[in-house]
Amino acid sequence: MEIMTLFHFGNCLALVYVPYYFTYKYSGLSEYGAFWKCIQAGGIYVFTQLCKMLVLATFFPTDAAGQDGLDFVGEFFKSTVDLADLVGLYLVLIGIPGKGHAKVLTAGVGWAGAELLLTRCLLLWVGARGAEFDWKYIQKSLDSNVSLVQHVTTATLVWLWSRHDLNRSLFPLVVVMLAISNYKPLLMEALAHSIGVGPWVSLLIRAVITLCLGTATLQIYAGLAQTIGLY
Amino acid sequence: MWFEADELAEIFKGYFPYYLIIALPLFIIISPVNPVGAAHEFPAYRMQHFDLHGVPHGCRSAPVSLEARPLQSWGSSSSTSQRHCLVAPLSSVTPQLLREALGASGNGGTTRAGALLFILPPKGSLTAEEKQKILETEETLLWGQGAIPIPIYFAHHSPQLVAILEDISSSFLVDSRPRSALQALMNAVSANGYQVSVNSGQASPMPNVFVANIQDWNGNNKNAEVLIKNARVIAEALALVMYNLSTEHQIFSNSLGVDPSSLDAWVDYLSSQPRSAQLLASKQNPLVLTLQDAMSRYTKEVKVSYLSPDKRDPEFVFYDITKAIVNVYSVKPAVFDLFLTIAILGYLAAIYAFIQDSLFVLCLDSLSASTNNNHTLYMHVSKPPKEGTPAAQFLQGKLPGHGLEDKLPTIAIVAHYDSFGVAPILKGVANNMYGGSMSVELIHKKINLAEESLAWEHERHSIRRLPAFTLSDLQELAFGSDSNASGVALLLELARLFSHLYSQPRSHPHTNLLFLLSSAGKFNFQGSKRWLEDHLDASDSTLLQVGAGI
Repeated sequence: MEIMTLFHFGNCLALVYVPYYFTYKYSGLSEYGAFWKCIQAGGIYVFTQLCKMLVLATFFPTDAAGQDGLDFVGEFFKSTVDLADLVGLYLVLIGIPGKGHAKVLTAGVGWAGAELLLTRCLLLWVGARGAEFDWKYIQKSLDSNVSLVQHVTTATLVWLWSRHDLNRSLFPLVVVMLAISNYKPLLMEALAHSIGVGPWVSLLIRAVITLCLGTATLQIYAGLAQTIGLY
Repeated sequence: MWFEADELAEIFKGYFPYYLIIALPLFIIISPVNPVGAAHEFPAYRMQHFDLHGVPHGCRSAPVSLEARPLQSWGSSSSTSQRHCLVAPLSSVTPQLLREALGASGNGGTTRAGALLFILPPKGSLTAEEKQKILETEETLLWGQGAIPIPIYFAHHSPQLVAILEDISSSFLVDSRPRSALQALMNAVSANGYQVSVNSGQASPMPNVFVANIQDWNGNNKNAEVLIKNARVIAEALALVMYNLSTEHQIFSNSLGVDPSSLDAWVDYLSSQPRSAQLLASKQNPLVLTLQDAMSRYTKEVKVSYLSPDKRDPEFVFYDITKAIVNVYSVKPAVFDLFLTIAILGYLAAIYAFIQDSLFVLCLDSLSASTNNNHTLYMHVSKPPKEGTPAAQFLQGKLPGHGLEDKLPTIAIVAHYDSFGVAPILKGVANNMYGGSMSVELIHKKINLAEESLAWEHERHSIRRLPAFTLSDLQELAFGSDSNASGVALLLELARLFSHLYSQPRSHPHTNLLFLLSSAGKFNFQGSKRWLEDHLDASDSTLLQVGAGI
C-alpha cells in the first residue's frame, strides 16, 4: 500500500525534477560552477516572496466573503505587486558575474528551482502520497515545467531591459512581454472564468503562451548577443 | 570549496537506478491492493440495530472497507461477492433482489454481498408505486431476514453520490453490452474503481438510552392539501364537541383557522431529519428540545418522561453507531500508474532528445614540459566527460566510429602557435599517449567567467558547448615558449600521421579531421573564438575539436 502511493509521488517528482536537471546539465551550466549561484538566486527569491507577502497582507487584507465572480480590479492590484518579482530578478542578475546565456540561465533556473521547492514539493509530498488520486498533481508537475521556461524567459527579458545597447525599437516589445509574463496568471483566470476551460486546456494554453514568449525573447536575445559579441 | 554540490548531482546521474524501471512495475503488478484515490465523504445512517427481548434484529455490523459495485451487477456474474459493497438507489431495489443480495438459499450457498449502501431518493420525487416498493423493501429488511450480518447504510441523495454510482455502473456493467476489445482494455487500465469505507468499530450496546415520549407527527409525505383539509376538519370537529354545538356552527373561520404555512413549516422541519428512536435517544437531542419548546408555548406545562430499559433484563437494547461517515474513494487500477510512468518517461525522453551534444574537442598545450621519466599527461577539462561518451572513450583509448558515410563526423585538432617566449624550443613529441611509462590524469577546473582571461583553450570551445579538453604536461598554464610550440609540433605530427592513414582507403577511419592552428592564443584564445564564430554553424557535425593553440 505504501509503495503504491509513493509510486505516484515518484512519478510527479520525476516529472518535476528531471527537466530542471536537464536544463542545468545540458545548457552547460555545470561547467560554470553555477550551482551555488543558483542557490543564491533561490535565496533572493525567498526574500522577494516574503516582502511581497508583507505588502499583500498590509494592503489587501483577506476579504471575509469569498466572491464568486472575478474581482478583476482587486486581482489586478495583487498582480501588480508581483512586479516585485522582476525587481528580485534584477538583483539576482546583478549578483551573477559573467555574461551571456550562463547568466540568465543561472538566474532563471535558480529562481524557478526555489519556487518549485517552496510551492510544489510540499504539496506533492502531502498530496500525491496521500489518499487521493487526482489528476491535479500531474497537472501541477507539468505546470512547474512550464514555469521553468517562463522564469528563464522573464530573467532574459529583465536582462534585456537592463541593457543600454538594446535596439530602441525593440524596447517597447520587451516591456510588453514583461507585462504579459507578469500578468499571465490574471489573464489565465479571466479566461477560465469567461470561457470556462478545464484544467488541461488551461495548462495547454499556458504552455503555448510561455513558448511564444520564450521564442520571441530568444530571438531578441540572439540578436543582441550577436551585436555585442558575446560569443 | 571542497564540497562541490555539482559532483553530488553527478553521482546521482551516474548511479541512476535503471533497475527501478523493472522493479517498480513488478511491485505494482504483484501488489494486491489498489491505491486509494479521491475521497468523497457522505453522512449516512446505519440500519436499525437493536435487540428485542434478547432477540437480535436488524443490521448487526458496522465497519465497511470494500469495493463498490452496482446492484444491477449482482447475480449476473460471479464477479460480485462478499468482497464488494453493493450501491444502489433505494427506489430501484426490489424485495427479490434484496433477498438474493442478502444470501437467500436459492443461490446454492451463502454468496451474499459484503455490505449494502442505499441512496435515499430526493425529496418529493417518489411516485405512489415507488413508495409502495420502498415500504415493502423496508419490511423485508427489518423483519423478513432476521438479523442481517452485513452493514447496511442509507445515504442522503447527493449529486456526487449519484455521479459515482453512474460511473460504477458504466465501468462494471458486465451484461453482454457490446464493447470493443480496445474499449475493454482502456477500461481495465484507467477506469475509476471506488472503494467504500466506513471507519468504525463494531457496534456496542448503548448504555444510557432515554426514549422521550412526545406526541409525534408521522407524516413525511408532503401532501399539503390533504393535511390542511384534515387539520381543519379535525379541529372543527373537536371544537364543536368541546363546546357542545351542532354542525351548523362553525367555530374556526378565516381569522382563526388552520394556518397552512405553519403546518408546512412543521412538516418540513420534521421530515428533514430521520427520527428513529435510537437517534433521538438522548436528553439533549435538538428535536426533542424544539418540540418541548413549541409545546410549552401553547400549553401550560410540558412534561417529558424518560424511560430507560432495565439494565439487567432489558426489553430492548439499542446499539450505537447510528450515524457514520461513508468515504467513497476513487481508485485507479494497479497498472494505471505504470502507464503513467511510461507516459512521463516518454515526455522526458522527448525533452532529452532536443538537447544532445556533439563529441568532444581536444586541445593541446605545453606537451613537452615534463622532464622526469614517469611523466603524467594531464587532461584539463571544465566538465568531466560522462561515461560512454566519446570524450571518455578517448581518455580510455578508443576513438569512436560512426556509421554514416555521407555525413562523416569531424574531429578538429586545434593548436595556437603564438607564444610569449622569445626563442621557441621545438622538441619532438613522440610519446604514445596511452600506457607505457606515462600516465594520463584528468584535471577538472570549471570555467570562471569572472576572471579576465580563460585559462585553457578548451574553455573557449566549451563556451560554445563543444566538449573540449586540453592535453598538457602542465598542471597549470604557463607562459613559456614551450606553450605552445609543443602543441603545434604535436599537431603537425598528427597531421602527417593521419594523412598517411587517410590516404590508404582500408585504414580510413570513419571521422573527418580538421586541423586548426589559431593565433592570439595567449590573448584569451581569440583566434579560436573567431574561428568558432565563423565556422561553427556550418560544422554541426563536428565531433571533436582537438585544440593546439596557435
